[in-house]
Amino acid sequence: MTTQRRWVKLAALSLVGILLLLFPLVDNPVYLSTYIVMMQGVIMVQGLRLIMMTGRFSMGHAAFMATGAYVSGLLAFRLGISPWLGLVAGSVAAGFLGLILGSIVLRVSGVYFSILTLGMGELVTQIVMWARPVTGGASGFGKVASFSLAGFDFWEYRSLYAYLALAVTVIAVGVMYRLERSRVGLTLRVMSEHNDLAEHIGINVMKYRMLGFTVACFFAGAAGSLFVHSVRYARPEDFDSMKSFEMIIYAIVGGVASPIGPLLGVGFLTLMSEAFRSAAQHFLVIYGAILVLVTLLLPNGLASLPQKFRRSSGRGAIGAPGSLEIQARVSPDGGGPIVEQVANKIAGGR
Amino acid sequence: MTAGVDWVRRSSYIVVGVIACAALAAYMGPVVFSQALLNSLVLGLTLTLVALGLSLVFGILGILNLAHGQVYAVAGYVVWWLYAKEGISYWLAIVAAGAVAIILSMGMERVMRPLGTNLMASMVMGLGLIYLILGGLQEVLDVFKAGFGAMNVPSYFTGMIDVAGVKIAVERVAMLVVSIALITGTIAFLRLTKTGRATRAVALDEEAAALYGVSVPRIRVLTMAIGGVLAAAAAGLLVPMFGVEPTMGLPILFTAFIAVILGGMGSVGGVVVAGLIIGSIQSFAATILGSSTVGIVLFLTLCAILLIRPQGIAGQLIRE
Repeated sequence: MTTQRRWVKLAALSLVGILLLLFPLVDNPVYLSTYIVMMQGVIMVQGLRLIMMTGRFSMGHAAFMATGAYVSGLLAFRLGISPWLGLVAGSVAAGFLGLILGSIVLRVSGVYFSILTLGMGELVTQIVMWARPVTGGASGFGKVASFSLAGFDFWEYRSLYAYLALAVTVIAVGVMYRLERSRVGLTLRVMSEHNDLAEHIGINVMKYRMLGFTVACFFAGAAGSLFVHSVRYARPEDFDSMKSFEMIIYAIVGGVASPIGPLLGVGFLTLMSEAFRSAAQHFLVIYGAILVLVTLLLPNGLASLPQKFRRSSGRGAIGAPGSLEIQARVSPDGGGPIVEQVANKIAGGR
Repeated sequence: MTAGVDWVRRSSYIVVGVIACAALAAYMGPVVFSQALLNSLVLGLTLTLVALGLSLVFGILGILNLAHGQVYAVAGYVVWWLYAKEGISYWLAIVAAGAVAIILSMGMERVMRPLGTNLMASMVMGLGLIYLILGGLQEVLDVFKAGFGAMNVPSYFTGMIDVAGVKIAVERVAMLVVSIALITGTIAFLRLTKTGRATRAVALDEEAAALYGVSVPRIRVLTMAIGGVLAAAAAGLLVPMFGVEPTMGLPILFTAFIAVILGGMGSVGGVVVAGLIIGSIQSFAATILGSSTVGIVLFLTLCAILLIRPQGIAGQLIRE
């Protein structure tokens, strides 16, 4: 039974993988642009998951995407530096900003963290507006060079751009998945559920939080760089709070409990908006309704659907850190069984 | 001993405040200073109206209603519609806005009820409601071909009065009077009436209150309705000053949040003080540094509060 389920899972995953690998061959610039946007979304939401693993809920993740986009875009636009270098520089800049801001915002948790990150998102757009001579203010700047390799301009060969986006996404998701599965991930898991316990068994909680946050911000910067060179312009309104909220919607709809959640969330919502392109003006209402319904009926998102079908009792028994269900289940002063389990594992490992 | 230390700390705050005011007055000149001071009172008190609702809902329902700003936006649009567009009475428009806000808030309470006191889920739900209400607002505007852009609302109170050489718009005075009346009314309701005491009891201990015969569900709905009315009143007062646009609920939500955190989550008195402080920060930052810096200054203020005194003026730190 278990092996059978494993095969089904493997088959489904490889099907998705093949689809993602073959899709860029489609010769349709609109679809390819959607694909590239999707990849950015997956990177962003995966980062959001990593932050959620620390038990925190960032409402300003788009700020780091903006950092990556502006650093990479401005380097190419003002100084004519290659976008390849820009991709690296943008990611590093975003990671660095994450390190600095993280050292402030990660000191607080819960509501305070969410509000502070919301303010952080506003702050970055404000700074972009304020530095008008460099960034072009509210109207931004345009005609940014795109990636090119061996004479192929990726702007003309969109399929190549799509493959680049896929490659960056695979790297980002791979690194974050490895991190999640490593001892770092376990530690984050303990911390999110029982911070005091983690401190008592000698974990440097701030260090781990900073690590998770910085990695997430680094890749958000990469997503921003992918964005700016694919649309070839940057405006602050593309990175405002609504963008951060959009990422949260993807994360929740997909399900934060599972590593496949971000892809499901981004994929489902993007495909839906493509399928109902004619109803684009109604998307605010539709997204809102979807988010409300998912919060009420499927708190662990689309990724928990198979589990839901399997258990007729309804709620899946196992939640993951950061998932809405776990947040409800674990009380502040009494660790749940998962906490003890993980704590034992960690304590035993040293 | 601790009471004595507390007393020293409080009076030191007042001394710092007075010195800061004197320094600002010397720097800006008395006329500009008094204008900015009046503005901070107006901004601070109207902000308090919004923040008070947020704080009450947090204290009593145990959830964070991110969609509270949307109630403000919808109420603002009702005022714009009935008063600026249709030309019906300003007061009728405000009453209608209040009614719409009550219905909207009660609806939100119903949707949020299954989440219990799960903060994270309530925030996600709040985001969903922001999208839903913002989208709904745009749909309605679209149906009536009203456009999504910012629109002006004419002032209801016109004219100036001269107080010791400083010209003051009657509108500002009216805003002050109405918001002070509403804030006092809310505090009086919570302190003096039986229902108000029941409300505070629910905030302290829901189970115990229920055991003593308080209908907790009713109190929760009532709290949301009060929050809605206060937001609607703030909208009615502020709309002639700032006009309306569909996304107007988001910035005020952020500022109100800062006020709630500064005041101490769930505390009523703290929120009033915090609202005034935030209002003066907004007003003085806009006067001295220019209006584009207000957001940056507010963010730095928030950082400072959370790092120095995360429990706010009067509240306790919530831990998760």
